[in-house]
Amino acid sequence: MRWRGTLLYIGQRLLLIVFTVLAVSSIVFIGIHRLPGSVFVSERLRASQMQALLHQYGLDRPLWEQYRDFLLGLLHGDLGISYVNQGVRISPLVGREALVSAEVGALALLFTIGLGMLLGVLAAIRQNTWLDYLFTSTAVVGYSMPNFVVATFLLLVFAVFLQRATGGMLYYQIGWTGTFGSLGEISIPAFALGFPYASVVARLTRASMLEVIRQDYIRTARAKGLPEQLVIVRHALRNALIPVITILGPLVIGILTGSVVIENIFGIPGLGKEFVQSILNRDYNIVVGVFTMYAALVGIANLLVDLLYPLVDPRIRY
Amino acid sequence: MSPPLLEVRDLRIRFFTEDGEVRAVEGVSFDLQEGEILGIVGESGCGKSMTALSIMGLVPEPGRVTGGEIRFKGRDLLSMAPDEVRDIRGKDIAMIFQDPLSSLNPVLKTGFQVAEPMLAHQRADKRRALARAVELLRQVRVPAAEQRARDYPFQLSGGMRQRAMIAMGLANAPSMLIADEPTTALDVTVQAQILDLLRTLNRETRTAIVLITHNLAVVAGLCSRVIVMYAGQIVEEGSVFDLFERPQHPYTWLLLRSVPRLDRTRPERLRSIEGLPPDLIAPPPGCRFHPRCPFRIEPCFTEPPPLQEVGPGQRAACWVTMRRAHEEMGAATLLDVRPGAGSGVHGPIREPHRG
Amino acid sequence: MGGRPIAITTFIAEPMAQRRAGLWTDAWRRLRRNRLALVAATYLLGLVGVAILAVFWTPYSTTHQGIVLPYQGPTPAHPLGGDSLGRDILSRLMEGAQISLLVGVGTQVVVLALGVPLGLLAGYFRSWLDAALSLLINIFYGVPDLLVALILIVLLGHSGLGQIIFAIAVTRWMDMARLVRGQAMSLREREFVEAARSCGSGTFKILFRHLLPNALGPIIVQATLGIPQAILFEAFLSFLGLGVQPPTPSWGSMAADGVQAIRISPHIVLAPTIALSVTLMAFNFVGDGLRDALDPRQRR
Repeated sequence: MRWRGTLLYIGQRLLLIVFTVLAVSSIVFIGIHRLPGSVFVSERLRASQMQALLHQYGLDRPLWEQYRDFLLGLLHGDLGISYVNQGVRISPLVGREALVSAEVGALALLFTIGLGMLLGVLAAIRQNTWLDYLFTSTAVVGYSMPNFVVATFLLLVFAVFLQRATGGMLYYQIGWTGTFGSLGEISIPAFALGFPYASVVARLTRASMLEVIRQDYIRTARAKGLPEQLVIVRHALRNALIPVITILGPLVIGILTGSVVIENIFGIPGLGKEFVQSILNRDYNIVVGVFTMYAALVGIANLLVDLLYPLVDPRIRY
Repeated sequence: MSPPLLEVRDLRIRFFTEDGEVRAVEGVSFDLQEGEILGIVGESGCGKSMTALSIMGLVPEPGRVTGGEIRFKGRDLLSMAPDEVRDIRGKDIAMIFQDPLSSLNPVLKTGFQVAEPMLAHQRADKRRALARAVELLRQVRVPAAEQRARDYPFQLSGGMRQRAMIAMGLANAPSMLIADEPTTALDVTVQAQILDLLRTLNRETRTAIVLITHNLAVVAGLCSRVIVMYAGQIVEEGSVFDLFERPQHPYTWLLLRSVPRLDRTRPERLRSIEGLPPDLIAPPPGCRFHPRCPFRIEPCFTEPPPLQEVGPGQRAACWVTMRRAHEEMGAATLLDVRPGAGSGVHGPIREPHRG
Repeated sequence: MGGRPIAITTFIAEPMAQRRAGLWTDAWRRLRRNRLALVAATYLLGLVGVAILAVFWTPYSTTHQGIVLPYQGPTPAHPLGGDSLGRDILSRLMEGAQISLLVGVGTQVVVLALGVPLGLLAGYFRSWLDAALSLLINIFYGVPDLLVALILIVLLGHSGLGQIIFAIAVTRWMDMARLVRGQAMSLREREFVEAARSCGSGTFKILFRHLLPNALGPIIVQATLGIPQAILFEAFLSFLGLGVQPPTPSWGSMAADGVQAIRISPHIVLAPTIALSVTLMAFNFVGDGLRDALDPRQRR
């Protein structure tokens, strides 16, 4: 029964995720509902109208009652309704937005790992050549560049200069047409999102590749008469991957975090844009909802990463 | 006699380090006959492993073969294109290494790693290569070979791993196998089994074996001929019997005295060799062993001794031996230098003169 | 401390102190050889100078609008041009440096004040304190830090510099605590701590006189590398409109203004983003240089 342990492990982790999500959203819920004032302060209302609105949303009840209802709702997957856009249910809204964010994030992760590993491996097997120096210094620059700076430069190139150069024939249009966007539309934000982390991956891959190349089993592989490409791809790369996999967890969190900024620059209708918007609108029910969604996303992403470990390193079993 | 399988002539290997050029191997020449088991012994750092790696074309950075010839079946490996050498590597010449755990790839299944040389050289399809790998594992006496082939190296015991390494080496039925300290990382009982396995393989498949070791007992049990290396050079060469019974180089003699033996009637004091191996960036002039040699005479300080015939099939590079031989009755005389044997080049050892 | 253990402690402490001095001079010698780190450090010193200067003087007012034409490109009088409201970008960049450095250094002060004692105590005593700290650290690692900072800003009520610093520090302290904890755990087993303990040194003295000085190298490196992270966070927050409130200039909010106008006049976005990237890079170079200098074993 090889899978029994794994299934048990997944079950435990899912339970932990549920617990974390409940805890995190509870903290945020209570924190926010203890704030003085409310959403409706900014709207100029008479006291009676205000009272009516508060009553309508159940905000005049004691905090513990509100919290109880919130928890009950949460357990059924219901995050309540928006205060600002009255009548909009939050659960389907943030669910859809989470998918959008996950889509961009997944592509960004692909960029990060693909680009990072490629550059790292090339730098390692061409150690101390100009290629190595070029990639290594690019990585240091990339690592120090916030993603919104990368995004800005990409916009300058693809939206501004490309438009001027082609006379408006071909350029990147800021904004998002459908819910999920086309590949062209998501590729640039995904690149901006992934690039700083690609530098991290490249640095790590280079270091781990240099370590692996010195190992005895690489000499064995050469002694078998394998072509150098096979030695690198089959024998070195898989082992060099192991330390890279271990930073996937922080990487996923980093990309999710970064998406808050990137989605706002590129006008992507994802969780991050909603999060900032609802904070600025004081639409606190949505703030709680989005945060809950984020906690769940992080938990699931980390679980997926952990399930990847044994696929890359057979010495790890659950 | 048919031409030798491998002829090494005047091999030179240097390491270009920041501190200077390390002359790791200097002027090493030897032959390997088909089906023979040749031992190369010496302390670590004496150049024995580098000699072996140079045959495979695998001298690591920053080392380079700077001179000499390595002729395998008459063709010089050193002047071949890299792809041609790669074609011989793992097919005609295979090599197994000291630590089977670190020498096996931790993330690939054992069976696949054994099958890999076949996939690289025979264009065999994967399924058949894997089936053959199981056969090979069985041949090197891995129990439950089919199951072990599906295991990863970390799931095997040390002995099993070395057997798998050997199976991997044998995959393409090479005419020559280089075994670099194949038993050093193993338990004593397992060591004996592995040596036994090598002996059987040599007998059954006629694969010539170059056995590299610092362990004289291993050489005594397995090899027919031995080369003793010191500081990048061959100091003595001969049949196992001659070398053990009549060592002609003081280093060999001291090496033998540093090992406990059960077949001696008179108790002897075990002695280690005083001093340290020389710095190979600036090796001592003359004989490289002279700073540690208890018998050194004048020419040892200035003139490097040539490797000369000191008996049938036995050669040594030592001024003392040569002078003694001339003084007595000519170079062809066999000289017994066993301590206590009464005669011989070095005679019974009293106070070695120092100076 | 009673009795006469002083003689013994000085006997033990003296070679220690000597070795430490040797360590620092060694480190300084190694650092001086690292040209990249030196250039970066010089740049940062210059930046600090600019930030201090900006307290007393900027070429123009940083908040008055209409000093230049809106969207004005660079001119001799306004070398970096004007922004969308006609403010002088150079002046605002100078004051922005001040904000960035304040947040960067201020955050690390809070982080040190929080992380070092907690880490020391947890690492030295183990027990329930350690368990609680580890749990807390693990929880924090599981939540995206920027989001926590954002929520905190909301909970703290929109924001002054103090709140921003606090919010960022709350999401950043665990790296430091974890580091110090690890150091304390390994150092507490060492002979000189043993010796100090047997001489009757008080716990406080052991923690701050014996453990802390020996863990100082990694702490300095960590704090240096923490500064650019905090600056980055502030820029993020301000970029999203949730950090430093207008009209106070922050590189993050200036970049956000610039992105709005990216089609009309790209120069607005370039100045703050380049300043930010170069500054972050400089801190990273200095941090890496310090690491290499203070811990030569880690070098490749």
